[in-house]
Amino acid sequence: MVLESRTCVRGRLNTRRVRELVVVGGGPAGLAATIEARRSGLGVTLIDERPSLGGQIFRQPPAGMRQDPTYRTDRYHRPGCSLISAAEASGAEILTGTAVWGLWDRKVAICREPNDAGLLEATQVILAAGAYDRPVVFPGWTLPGVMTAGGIHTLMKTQRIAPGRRILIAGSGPLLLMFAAQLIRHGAPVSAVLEASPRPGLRAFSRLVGAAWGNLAVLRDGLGYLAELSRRGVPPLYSHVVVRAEGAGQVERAIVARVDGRWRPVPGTERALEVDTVALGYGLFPSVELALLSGCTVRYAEDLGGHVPVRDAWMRTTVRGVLAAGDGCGVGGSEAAEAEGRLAGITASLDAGRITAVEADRRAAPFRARLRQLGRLRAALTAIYRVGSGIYDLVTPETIVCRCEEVSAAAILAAVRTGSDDPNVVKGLTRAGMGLCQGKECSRQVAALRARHRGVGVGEVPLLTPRSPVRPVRIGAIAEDRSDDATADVTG
Amino acid sequence: MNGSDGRLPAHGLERGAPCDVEVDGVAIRAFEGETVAAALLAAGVRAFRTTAKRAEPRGFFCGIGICHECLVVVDGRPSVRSCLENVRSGMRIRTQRGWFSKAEPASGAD
Amino acid sequence: MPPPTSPVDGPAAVSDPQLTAARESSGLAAGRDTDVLVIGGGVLGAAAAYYLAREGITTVLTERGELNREASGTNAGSLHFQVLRQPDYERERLDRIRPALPLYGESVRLWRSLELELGADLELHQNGGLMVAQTTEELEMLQRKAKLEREMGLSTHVLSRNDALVLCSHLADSVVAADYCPDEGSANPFLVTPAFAKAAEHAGATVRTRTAVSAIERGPRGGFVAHTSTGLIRARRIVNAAGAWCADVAAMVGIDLPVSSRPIQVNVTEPWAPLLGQMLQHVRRRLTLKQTPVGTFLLGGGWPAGPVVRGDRHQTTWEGMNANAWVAASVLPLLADLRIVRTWAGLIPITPHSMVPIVGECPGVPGFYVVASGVGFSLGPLLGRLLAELLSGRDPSFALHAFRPAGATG
Repeated sequence: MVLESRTCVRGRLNTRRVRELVVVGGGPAGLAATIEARRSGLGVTLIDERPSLGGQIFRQPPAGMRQDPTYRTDRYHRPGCSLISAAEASGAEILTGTAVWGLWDRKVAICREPNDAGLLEATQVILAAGAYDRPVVFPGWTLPGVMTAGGIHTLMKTQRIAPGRRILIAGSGPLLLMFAAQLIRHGAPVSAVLEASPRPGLRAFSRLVGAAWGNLAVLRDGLGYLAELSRRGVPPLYSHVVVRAEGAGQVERAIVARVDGRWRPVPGTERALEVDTVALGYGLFPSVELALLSGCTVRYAEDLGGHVPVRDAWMRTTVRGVLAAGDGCGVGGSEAAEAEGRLAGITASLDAGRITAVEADRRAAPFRARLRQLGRLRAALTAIYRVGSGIYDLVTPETIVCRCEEVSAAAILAAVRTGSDDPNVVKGLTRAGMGLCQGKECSRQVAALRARHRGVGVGEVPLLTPRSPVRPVRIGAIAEDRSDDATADVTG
Repeated sequence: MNGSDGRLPAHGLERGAPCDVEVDGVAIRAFEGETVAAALLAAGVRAFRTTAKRAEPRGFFCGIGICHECLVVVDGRPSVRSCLENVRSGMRIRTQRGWFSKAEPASGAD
Repeated sequence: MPPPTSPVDGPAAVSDPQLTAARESSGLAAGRDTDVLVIGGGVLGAAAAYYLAREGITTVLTERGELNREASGTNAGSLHFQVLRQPDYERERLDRIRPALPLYGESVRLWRSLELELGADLELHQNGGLMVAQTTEELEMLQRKAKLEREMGLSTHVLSRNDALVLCSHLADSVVAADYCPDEGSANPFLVTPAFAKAAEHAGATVRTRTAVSAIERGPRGGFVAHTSTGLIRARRIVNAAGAWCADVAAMVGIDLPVSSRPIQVNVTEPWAPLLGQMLQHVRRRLTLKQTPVGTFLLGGGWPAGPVVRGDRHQTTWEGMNANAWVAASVLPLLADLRIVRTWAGLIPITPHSMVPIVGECPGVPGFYVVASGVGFSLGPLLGRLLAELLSGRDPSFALHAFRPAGATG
């Protein structure tokens, strides 16, 4: 189905009205939160930067293409469509094509290019900003032809386009299997699939069996993906990573190596694969910029993707009035995201006084049960696919770490060695993190370089100062005449 | 794969109408509903721009508009994220070198 | 100009750890017993330390955090040499800033030779500054201002719109005139203080970061003992260059200094083709606007930042972005198409009169000197040099009595 996005022009959008609840992100968590909050009669504004709802996993085909409604691209398609329809029918105010770029005390800064921007004041905010592909830094990662698995998957799923003729997919975890199998099913020319973790043994299987209750469908899918890969002659090559991409102006070959249990390449095991595309499927990073901006306490969990907001059992963060749900709080998949979103919507209703604590408990119970089931599966999968610290050690001195500003690892190390603990000093000296991606692709690797220098874990080095805008915003959209402020003087 | 084009069998997804689009002066196949990045990749164009300092080629990376690597010049507008921009009939795309000004030389020489 | 360090691989290091380490191991008194202790690792402190060391004066510079993390490292890099935006240009107000104006003329000359002197690339550009007017009333303000500047020997003149367009062809239609100062421009705040600190060390100064001064004892026959987080430091004289925290440090010896601070915010755009060579300001509205060597535009002008939320950094705000954006785009309309990518905030010191620095020995506490300025980035190198002249016992090349701290002792 082709979904129409609601249009919203500054003249029509009433920014002065205080919203009871603003939900940032229209993926499974945000959709579910919207539905639950609307069920309680709470006023909800749902905002997503894409032209249509669904986030990444439920991404809808673009306007101009028509999807056969009977064709199931994957298991997520129908539940995704039904969540989207329910949210749209819920009576929520829905703003698509609208980026959230700042958050101050539950004042939400939005921008709809080219010319509209505004500040929405909310009594409560639910952050459901999702996650993005983990960038893995190695020599040659900037060559055309190296891309994220999520990026390729979207090209395939929504436009049926393969970006190359010999595709290597390297990564780890259940998403890797899904991406690889779906690419193959659509006819993409996959040459090899590399899994960084070791082949799951008997213990892993018994863990998965132990987590099977309520998760049979997912496990069945996983086995199905494995079978598909085997059938097509590209079973996963376990304990292997890409260490280098090479080519004149674009990828012409990938150098792969066997790794140990911590994903560190074993010397002498390098070999070349003649491929023209390398897809990186090493999991996801939660998008926590808004949580950090609003002052939420975070903790570091490598297997959740990095820093995640600390939450109570009701999805509340440490900042009053700010809740968070979904992959943006730690990557757990779309079903967990939906269940968390439901909880967040229920909590928002409770905290707004729309439902009693008893009703909140009652409504939350099935979603808590589902989260427990999913949690068991996630624990089993984490044990199998634990992120190895070697993922941060593939850089060489010449490797460009900050892609936007073209800063090498050597330059970053020189700045790190000046001895400062302050990450902003490294940024100021090298420009790493100052570019258009705002540090999303490089800052983890920069942190890893700092951490290695100090001999501590990646999560133990201080974070950069969180800053708005969390998305680049057009001056023509945000410019606002405030003449009194402009002429104000401080001293003579 | 269908011939030399990166487009795969549609399988339940109907492409939009064909579009006239050119890249660096050369016409390529494109269909309504495709992003500029998808059309470029389908045509085998993978280097979308060269960087400002080292003149190194870059292309499609994250696919969701956050890495800002896939930048091209669209109808004279520089630094457009091709993974987010949909093709339009008559669109003129140029691979970008460094950071362009709005007033582009017609000849294409820099 | 020395060959710049490759912009790709980063500029000069903050300070030379090997030098510091060598010095620290060379003697138990190294860095603990000194003629002059400079407190504050911003541009004023680092410049003072450099010029002092060059005079052969034993100098220790302490900084409680990292060098260059406050006003000196968080401003927009503007070099102001024409009279700043004033609420009006009435004679009485202008008379107060008059004594300071020759400092700006001399700063122009000092900046022009600084890269060579320090052997460092500061991304220095002195290609001129334009302070624009958009109404007849604003034009009159510009003319009053330019008259004073001429009297003071600053080489500014008011350009007609057409002449201004020759320098900057992208000015908005609404710009009717501009006060042009050919020596104005910018430097990279990330580079200046570190360059001074490194040069100071090479000249013999000791630089101690992560060294916070918590108390200062006055010796019975003069001299001071500073209590710091890394131990005691004995100094014959002290230079208080603590910027926004000047008053706190002065209070340690019972002096009440009229220096306060306020948080300001700077906005940066995406890179663009080089279109602006001058620094732009507005005669009546808060604005500084410049394009950096990498092509980004810096929008500043002293817009207030928000409160501290996390750690010790002030928030940047919605208002600080959108109002600044509006003023900038009203002067340079091409900016409307550019996106703001980053913002940052810093604390800048406020002296009673923004253009008039405080420099000199504090009455009642001999040996305790203060250097503070609300235009510290532009004046910093010169003030450091003048301070060193003062402390070396020579007559400084400028009369400084107008800038002496007048604070009473408590």
